[in-house]
Amino acid sequence: MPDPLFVFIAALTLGACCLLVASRNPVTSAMGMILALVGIAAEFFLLDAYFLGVLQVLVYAGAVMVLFLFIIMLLDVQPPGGAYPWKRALAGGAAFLLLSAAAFALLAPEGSLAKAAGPTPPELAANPESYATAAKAFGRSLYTKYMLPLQMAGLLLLLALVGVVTLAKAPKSAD
Amino acid sequence: MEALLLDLLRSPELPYVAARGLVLIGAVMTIAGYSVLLERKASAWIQGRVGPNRTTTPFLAWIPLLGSFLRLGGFIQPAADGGKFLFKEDPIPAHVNKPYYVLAPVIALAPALAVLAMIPLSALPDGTPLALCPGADVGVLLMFAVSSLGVYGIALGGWASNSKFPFLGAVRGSAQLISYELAMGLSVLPVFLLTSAPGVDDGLNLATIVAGQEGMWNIVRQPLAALVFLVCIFAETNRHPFDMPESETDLVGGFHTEYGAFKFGLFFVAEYGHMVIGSSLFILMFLGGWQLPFVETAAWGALGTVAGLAIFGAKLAAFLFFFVWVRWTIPRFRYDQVMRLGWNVLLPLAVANLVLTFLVLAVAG
Amino acid sequence: MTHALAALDAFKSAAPQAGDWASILPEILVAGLGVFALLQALTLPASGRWLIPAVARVGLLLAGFLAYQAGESEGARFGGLLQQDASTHLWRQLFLLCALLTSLVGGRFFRQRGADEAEFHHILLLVTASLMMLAQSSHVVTFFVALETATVGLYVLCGFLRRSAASLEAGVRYLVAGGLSSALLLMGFVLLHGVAGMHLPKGADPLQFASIAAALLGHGGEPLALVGAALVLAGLGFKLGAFPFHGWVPDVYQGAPTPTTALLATASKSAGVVGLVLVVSGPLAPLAAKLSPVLAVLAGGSLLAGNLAALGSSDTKRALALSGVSHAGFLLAGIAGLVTLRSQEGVFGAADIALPIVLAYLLAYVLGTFATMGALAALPAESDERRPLVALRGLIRRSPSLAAGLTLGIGSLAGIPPSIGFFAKVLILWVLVSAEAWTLLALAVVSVAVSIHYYFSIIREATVRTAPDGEVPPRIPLLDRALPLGLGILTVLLGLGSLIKAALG
Repeated sequence: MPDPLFVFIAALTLGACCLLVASRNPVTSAMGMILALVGIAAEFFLLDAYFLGVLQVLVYAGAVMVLFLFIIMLLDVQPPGGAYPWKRALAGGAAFLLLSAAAFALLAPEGSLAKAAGPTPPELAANPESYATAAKAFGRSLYTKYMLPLQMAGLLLLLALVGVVTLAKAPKSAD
Repeated sequence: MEALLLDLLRSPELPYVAARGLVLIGAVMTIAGYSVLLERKASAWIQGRVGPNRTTTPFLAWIPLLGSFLRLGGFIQPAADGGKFLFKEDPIPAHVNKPYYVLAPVIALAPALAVLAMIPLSALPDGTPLALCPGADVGVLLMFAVSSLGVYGIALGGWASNSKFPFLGAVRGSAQLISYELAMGLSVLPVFLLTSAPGVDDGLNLATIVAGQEGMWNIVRQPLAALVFLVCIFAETNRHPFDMPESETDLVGGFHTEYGAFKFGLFFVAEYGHMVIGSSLFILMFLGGWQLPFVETAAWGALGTVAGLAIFGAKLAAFLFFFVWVRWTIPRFRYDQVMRLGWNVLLPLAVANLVLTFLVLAVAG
Repeated sequence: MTHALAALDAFKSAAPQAGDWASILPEILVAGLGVFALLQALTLPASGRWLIPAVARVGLLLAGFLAYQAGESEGARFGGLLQQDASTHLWRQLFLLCALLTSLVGGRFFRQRGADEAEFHHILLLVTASLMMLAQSSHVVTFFVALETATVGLYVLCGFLRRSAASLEAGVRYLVAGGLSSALLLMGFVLLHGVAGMHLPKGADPLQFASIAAALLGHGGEPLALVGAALVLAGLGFKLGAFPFHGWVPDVYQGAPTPTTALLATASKSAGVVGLVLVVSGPLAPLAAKLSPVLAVLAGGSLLAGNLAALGSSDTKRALALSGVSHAGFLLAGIAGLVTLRSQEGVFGAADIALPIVLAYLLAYVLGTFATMGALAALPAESDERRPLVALRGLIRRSPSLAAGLTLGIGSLAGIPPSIGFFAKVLILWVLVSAEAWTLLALAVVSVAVSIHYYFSIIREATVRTAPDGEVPPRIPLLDRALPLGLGILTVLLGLGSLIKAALG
């Protein structure tokens, strides 16, 4: 029997995702996405991955989605008119459910369900380095093994920054 | 007795958790109410007025001396204010987006309450922090993360009001909040650097940070970080001189213009909640938390816990007074000045301070 | 204190060593130049801004020399994040060549249109550096970060002429398509990681290519692994612009500024190829028998879809974009042949030279594309995104050198002997023969025949048809005329050279 808290949060996250996909109001979609991101963070907490959960909230829910919402509000995107296509939405949802159920039945390896529902395997709990969830272990592997991708990600951010400035700055008035 | 207290503090059983929640809400409402009183009395004092001194109740007023003290000091005023919020008619304007209009105050208050539960107030005799909901080893980050969700309350409230001035207030306010979050996050990194020396394993835990200030407060070691952080918490709480979302002279009432009664009250409590959070973080990270210089409260056992609580409370009260003092002393910034200060002054300062700390640690360590 | 010092020592020994950094010196140089371009833009006066492209080009040449010097150095770097071998250095040089040519084509193009050269070079150089990293990555994290950095840069370059609605639209379209493909790729890797994590012994890194391959060796038949592999292929197929993921190609190529189109067509496609080669010969190698029919379908579909769509196009850029899809088909056919040959355990060692053949095809494609796109970029046009075939009419009178460059470049793309494009196509066909992929071979031959039709309609407009009367010959600077012509002549010379070499050897 899985943790009831897990079931509750998972249902909440899935519901928020449905809201994100099915809503015609962009603000509602954004709110659904925020809720889904927070729900995923909560699942990280249940897995004892506190640091990842915090980062998830800090980066996605707390920063990225604020900008999304901000822009949706500023652009004042109006929901499309006309009746809501209930039939299409329901058909799509049902097809997706069937497909994912089939995929799950097909893909989930033997015994993985029982494993997922059970407690943390002792070999993982005993070796915190391989199960790096604490901030310090995270930082350690980031600055040793993953030093190179870290530097590359830095360049990626610089590139994105320059790109955004290039695309967004006011045109020169001279030409 | 002691076992019951510990259970109340630690037990994961539902009744205890519910009790903790009630204690939290009661405490926050009380603190918010008396912060308002502090605000009104202090502003009156600064402006040479008297401030609230009329509200009274039967029975209490009949007690000689104490009754008139309570009345003149305005101590019954918060209860009257709260009662008024509760019993007023709660209108919902016709032009608003109803679900979000109702949701916004809740979204504004919930993160503040969640963070308030994580603040460690003192150290228990066994050395663990005294908090309703002690955070993991990433306590500070968690608090930053959750409190940053408060911006949705402002953004949604202004947007759902479907009205010009609230919307302007919401846009301004959310832009200000996300701008100052950067400088705020960067400004405290040097503190973590100082705390997380090699061998310290939970350097992001507020209790560890407080313990690391034994002997010397971080405000002495990191004055620049403290200054930047201080300015940023003013901006993050939307307090004067950064009250862009409200700014009653140009935006009527800002993002909560269309709100009244209890919904407005929730926004109000959230603002004071954020004030308490900001003050507590500053006290914990820069002012030594529940410690006093040259006083070894940790050695006093249970008495030390109480003393720590008192020290923390005193510091908090002083800091809240400081908030009010600034509000009635410094004029409001213009919006472009707010943005310039955040991006062109505080952010570079925070980065420079961080690099400086790196260099000092690399050379000295 | 000793505990702290021991921790510090452990940290230092786990961090990358100096030798690791030295092995990626060309990449560091290129990325450093990219940052330096920004510094130059900050400090140089307006009269000294010509230095920015000059420094960048010299630096690119230097990096190419360093990559050439690295020659045969092999081995795992950065604790298995990177894996260098002889082909690594060839890929590096190919990407550097693309960057150099893009810089030459794009410099004046962007200056004329009021876009900033410093930022253009900054983005171009960082994209190049990350593509070079991609070519040697042997770990999911490096692979993905490198690919993502390059893609983000290309989004910006697509929308670089931001006063043109078409350019911005191309940028947004590419952003959406690129985001989708990155998501597919990442999902695929996550599933593969899951399979590897379940079956690998403790201590193995389930994100490393070799470990994933080791895990798939015994458990490659698991549905989870197959879905993961399919998603990874789909993600890379998007980047490559291969059928059935080529929907974004025509609009983005057409709307993007012409130098960016050239870069997309060459560097980005090469990135797709190198990514695909790395993946099919690394983590997915145990699945070769299952992969080769899939790759063959992708290749055949791209050949058909690209060529048939290009037949109906009346815009030069669009036709070239769609022909790019069919070139992707050729490259995929080469990779499919490579995978098949490998799974058959080497007939005459054919698998070993299949990779150099793919590289040679890319080189021919790069030269031909830059000759053509360079000529297009040099031609004045009302709007860069609309270059109808008719606008080329009588180019031979207006600018003989451009017409010659365009014709030679297209000749190479079409595979007319004696250009290098011809030999490249023949070599790919040879790989297909060795792999006994007869259907694919037939499709490739048919597609060459079809492609000649639209390639020749471009050449006919430029050379045979006469210009409308009263057209004033445009004044085009020497460099812009010389570059396409030089590249065009180079395709012929290289073709003749390889002919002579084949005849002698």
